[in-house]
Amino acid sequence: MKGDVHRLVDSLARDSTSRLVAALAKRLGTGRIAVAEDAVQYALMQALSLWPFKSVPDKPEAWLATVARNRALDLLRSESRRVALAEELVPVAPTTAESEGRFDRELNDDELALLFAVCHPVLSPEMRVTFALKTVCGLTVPQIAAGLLSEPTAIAQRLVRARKQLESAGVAIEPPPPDALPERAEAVRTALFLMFNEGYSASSGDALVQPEFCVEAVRLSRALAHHPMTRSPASDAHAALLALTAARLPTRVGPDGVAQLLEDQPREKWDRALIALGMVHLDKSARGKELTVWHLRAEIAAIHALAPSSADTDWKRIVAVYDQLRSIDHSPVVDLAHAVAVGRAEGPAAGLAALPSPDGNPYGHAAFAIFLTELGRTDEARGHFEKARDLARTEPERRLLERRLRS
Amino acid sequence: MAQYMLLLHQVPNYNTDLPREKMLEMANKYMTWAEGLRAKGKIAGGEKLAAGGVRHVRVQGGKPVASDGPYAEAKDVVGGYFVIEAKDQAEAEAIAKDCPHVALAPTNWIEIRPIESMAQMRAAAAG
Repeated sequence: MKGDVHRLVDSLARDSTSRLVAALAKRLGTGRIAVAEDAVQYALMQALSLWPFKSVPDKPEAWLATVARNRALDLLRSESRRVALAEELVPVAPTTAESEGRFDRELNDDELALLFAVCHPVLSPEMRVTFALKTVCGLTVPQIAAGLLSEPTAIAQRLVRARKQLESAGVAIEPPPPDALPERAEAVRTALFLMFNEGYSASSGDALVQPEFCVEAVRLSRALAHHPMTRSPASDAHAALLALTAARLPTRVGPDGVAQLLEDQPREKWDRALIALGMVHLDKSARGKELTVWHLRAEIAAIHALAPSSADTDWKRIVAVYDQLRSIDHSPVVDLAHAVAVGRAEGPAAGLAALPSPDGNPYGHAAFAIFLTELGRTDEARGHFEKARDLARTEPERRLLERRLRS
Repeated sequence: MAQYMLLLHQVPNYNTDLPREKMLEMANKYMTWAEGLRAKGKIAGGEKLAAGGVRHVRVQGGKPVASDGPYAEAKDVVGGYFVIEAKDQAEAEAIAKDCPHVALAPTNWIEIRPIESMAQMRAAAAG
C-alpha cells in the first residue's frame, strides 16, 4: 500500500508532469512554455491536495491532463485562440510503459521536441541548462538557483530571457529537420554535459555534488541514446561517459564532508549498476567510424571505472587518450587532466613538467602541490596548497586542502 | 462503530510555494494516511473545501440575507473534512493524531466531532 502510493506520487510528479508539459507546450507554442509549466504544476498541486479526500482516480494521468488543460485555457482566457485551443488540447493518452529505475525513463516524441527547443544553439549553454532543468526536468526555480549557486530572481530572469530568445528566433517545439539534426543533437549533448558537471562538481557552495542534476543528466543522455531519432555512436558515447562518471558519485565526498581524491576513494562503493550501464553504452558507441570527444572522455572514464585501484590503473593508456583529446578539444581543463595522468604514468617530475600554468585555477595549484610534495619539495608545495585552498570553490574541497596543509 | 467528523482547521493559503521534494513528501504522507484508512474501511467520506466563495446566510430584518459575513479576513478556516469510522473516542483521537494535517504547519489543528446517529439516540433513549 505504502509503496504503491509513493510510486504513484513519484511517477506522477516526474514522468507525468514532464510528458504533460511537453504535450501542452507543443500545442501552445514556444512563447507559452511557461503557461504549460504553470498549468501542469497547478494540476499536480490540485491532485496532491484533493486525492487524500476523494481517493485516487482510476486514470491519474488523464485526470491531471484534463485539469492542466482547463487551467491552461483559464490562463489564456483573454486570448482569442482560446476556442481553437479547446479543440486541440485533448488529454494526453495514459502512460504506456512504466519504468522502475531513475535512469531508465525514456522520452516520448513531445518531450524530445521540447528538449531540442530548450537546448537550441541560439541559447548559451548556461541558458540551455537552466531552461532544461526547469522545463524538461521539472525542478523549481529555488532548487535550480541553489544548484547553480545563483539567486532565484536571477534564474527566473534568465528563464524569461531564454523564452524570449526562442520566440524571437522563431524556434518551434518540433523535431529539428534532418540536415540540422547533428548540430542540434550536439547542442543538447553539450548542455547535458554541463548540467552533469554542475551536479558532479558544483562551481561553489557548501555541497560538492548536486546528485539531482547528475541523475537528470544521465537519464536524459540515456534517453537520447535510445530514441530512434537521436540514437548514434556519439549519443551512446555521451551516455557512457555520464553513467561511468556518475558511478563515482557516492565517494566524491567522504563521510566527514571532506572531498576525496580519485586515488583515495573506496572503489567498492562505486555504483556497479551504473558502471554496467555505462559499459553497454560504450560498446554500442563503437559501432560507427565516428570518434568524438564523448568517445575519448568515455574511454577514460571506463579505464578508471574498471581499474581495481589508482596504482593499478593503465595511466599510459589514459595519457594516450588525453593526447588524442587534446588534438580535438584543446582546453586548459584537458591540459591539466593530461598532465596529472602524465605524472601518474611517468612520475611526479614528468607530471610537473607537463603542468600548464595554474593561473588562478585551484585544481592547477593542487596538482602542482601534490607533485612537489611527491618530489620532497614541501616548502614550494605549501605555497600551492595555500593558493588552492584560498581559491577552492566548495566547502568539501576547502576542507580537503586544509587537511593536506596540516599533515 | 461510531462516526466522527474530523474538521481540518488551517490558516488560509499557507505553504503555497513549497519546493517539489517537500511537496511530494507531504503528498506521500497524506495519501499514505488516507489510503491506509480507506483500505481498512475507516473513511466514510470527506471533501476538500474551496478557499474562495465563502458566504454566510443570516436573518436580518426578518429576511435571510447572504453576505461575506463578519469573518471575511478569517485567520482560521476549515480546509476540508473527513468522516471516519472509529469504535470510540480514543480511536478517533488516535486517527486524528496520525493525520499529517497537524504536522504540516504549527497553525494547523483538527477538531473531532462525534456524529449523532439515530442508532445511538435510540440506544441512549432505551438505556
